Amino acid sequence: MSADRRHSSGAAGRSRAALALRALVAVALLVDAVVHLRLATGYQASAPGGVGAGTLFRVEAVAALVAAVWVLSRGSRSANLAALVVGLSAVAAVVLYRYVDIPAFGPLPAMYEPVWFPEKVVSAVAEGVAAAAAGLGLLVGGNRLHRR
Amino acid sequence: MTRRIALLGIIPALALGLAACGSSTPDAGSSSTSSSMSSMDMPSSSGSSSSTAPSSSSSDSAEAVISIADFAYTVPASVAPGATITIKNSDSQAHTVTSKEGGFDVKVDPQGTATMKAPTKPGSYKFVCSFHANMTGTLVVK
Repeated sequence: MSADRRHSSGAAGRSRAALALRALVAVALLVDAVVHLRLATGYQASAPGGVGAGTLFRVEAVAALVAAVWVLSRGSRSANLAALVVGLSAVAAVVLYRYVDIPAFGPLPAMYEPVWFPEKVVSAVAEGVAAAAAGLGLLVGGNRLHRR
Repeated sequence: MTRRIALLGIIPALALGLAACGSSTPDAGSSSTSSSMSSMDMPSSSGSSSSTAPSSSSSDSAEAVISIADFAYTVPASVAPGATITIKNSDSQAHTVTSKEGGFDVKVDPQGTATMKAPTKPGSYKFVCSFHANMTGTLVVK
């Protein structure tokens, strides 16, 4: 096999891996969005203070959907960075409010919920996966740029 | 330049992400220790009313207590038909005690109490919190 063919085959493999990574980020963010949209109505009723927890859930879902579409359509550094920020901030929030009783402030209701349940776990894992995959996408993209 | 625009979009996303997720609680202004409840679709045999905080309850007594803490119900072993049931919510979010088969549906505010009447027909009544579907319990009437 010539050096050119080896190089070409390696590039195709990297391209497939990058596409798979982008798909993983998008699917994870989609799962996160669906869970938040499903829970939003109940949480708005149980915590209507400030803008209401349900409103925040819907905003989070929209942010996740936008980032998912962005990553899927353009695997740019900006898209991966957006997915990383959405995923990381969401997983940080869910863990924070699981363990720390933070009072309401400004438009945010207090959102302490000292339990895990299946949908919440699925959402948190999806957020973590999205953040990790987006971070990996950033690293891989960064290394590729660096090599150029 | 493109990177700068992307960062401008990402900063609000970070704030929103931090705001979302988790769960909720009462707003600072509405937290209260007083009783408060509302009922929906209550049949004539199981009415409800606002009440002040009750004392502890025991099973099979005329007055029973359903406690809600950490997003879980603690239910008496059984209650008498038509018994007055006090619901005490020590969470910082509102919950409901909603029978799946109908018969009772009571909302309890954060840190609040409410009362309802047990169904007059003996049996096991499964109930949920209509805001948090993972919360379930069974009320035994006998």
